[in-house]
Amino acid sequence: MDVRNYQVLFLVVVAVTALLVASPALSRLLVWPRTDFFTELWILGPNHMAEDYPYNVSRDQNYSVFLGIGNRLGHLACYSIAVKFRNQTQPAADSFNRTFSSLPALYNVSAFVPDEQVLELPLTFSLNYSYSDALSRIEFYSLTLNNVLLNLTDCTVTWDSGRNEFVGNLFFEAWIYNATVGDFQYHERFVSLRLNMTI
Amino acid sequence: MLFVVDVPVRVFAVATADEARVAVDGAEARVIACYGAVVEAEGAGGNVTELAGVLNEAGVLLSWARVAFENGEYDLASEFSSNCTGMLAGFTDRAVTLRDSAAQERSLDFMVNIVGSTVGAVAVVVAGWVLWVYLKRKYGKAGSAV
Repeated sequence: MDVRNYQVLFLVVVAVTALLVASPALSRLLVWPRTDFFTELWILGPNHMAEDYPYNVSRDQNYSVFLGIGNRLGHLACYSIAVKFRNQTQPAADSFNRTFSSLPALYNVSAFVPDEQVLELPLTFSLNYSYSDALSRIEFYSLTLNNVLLNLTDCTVTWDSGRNEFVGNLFFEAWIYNATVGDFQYHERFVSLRLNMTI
Repeated sequence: MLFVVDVPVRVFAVATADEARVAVDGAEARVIACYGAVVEAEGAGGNVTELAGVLNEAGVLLSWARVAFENGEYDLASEFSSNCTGMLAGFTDRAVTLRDSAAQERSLDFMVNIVGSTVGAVAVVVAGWVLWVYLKRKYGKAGSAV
């Protein structure tokens, strides 16, 4: 028997064994580096689906949605979700110019989300308003969000004759804590609910 | 007969706007400091899900404190701020412990999985080469040992 006849087989066996032994190290070293770092922000309806969003709302009636935040930033993130409400004429957040609404936040929801994890916040809200016959407009008193009463007395909505609705937007802007600056900065993401106030 | 009536006693402290402001700012600073400690623990490889949950609960109290302050309910704002700060008592120590244990685990993981398996793979190659040389010497010429 000449052992040289088995040279290739021997080499293959040694190479495969070496690769198997080295696999724990290879699995850590041969990892494609992450290049996309971003945050996901979404709203789901009351059934945890992207449907049945509240649209026609009644005074003092409770409505439920789920606000979701997905962190793909590579580290634990500290978010502050600014809850705002606007009528047709008030400034909105702009997804093209990536600017936030200049309206003051009615409420700030703090959210700490570890990397590669998702946080879903159940939100229940109701609007307290009345209809002014003389001025033909909706006058708001308050927004109740998760049992927290928020003042909305400065807001009114006039009749949109084109769409036949009293429309208002409840929207949520994502702000993120920047440790370098030591403050929250707009994270260029927002989601909104278009609501028609029924009378 | 002797009746012992347990009456809860609560001291109503009236907080001023300045006191409430200090309390809310203090709670916010505490939350941010704890967040920094958790980021360090996560950077060391620790699983921070549980700590993030505590921060979220504290964050809710802080949000309530802010709303109460805006509404001029300074007592309530101070109370929520105090609860928020109390919830985070010992939190930084937990984060530091997690960070240290995660760093130890990462070091052990490095030694076993990176160094150990690399040395093992080299050992396999060297052992294979030694075995090959031995076999070649013993069985190298046709029929020499058979």
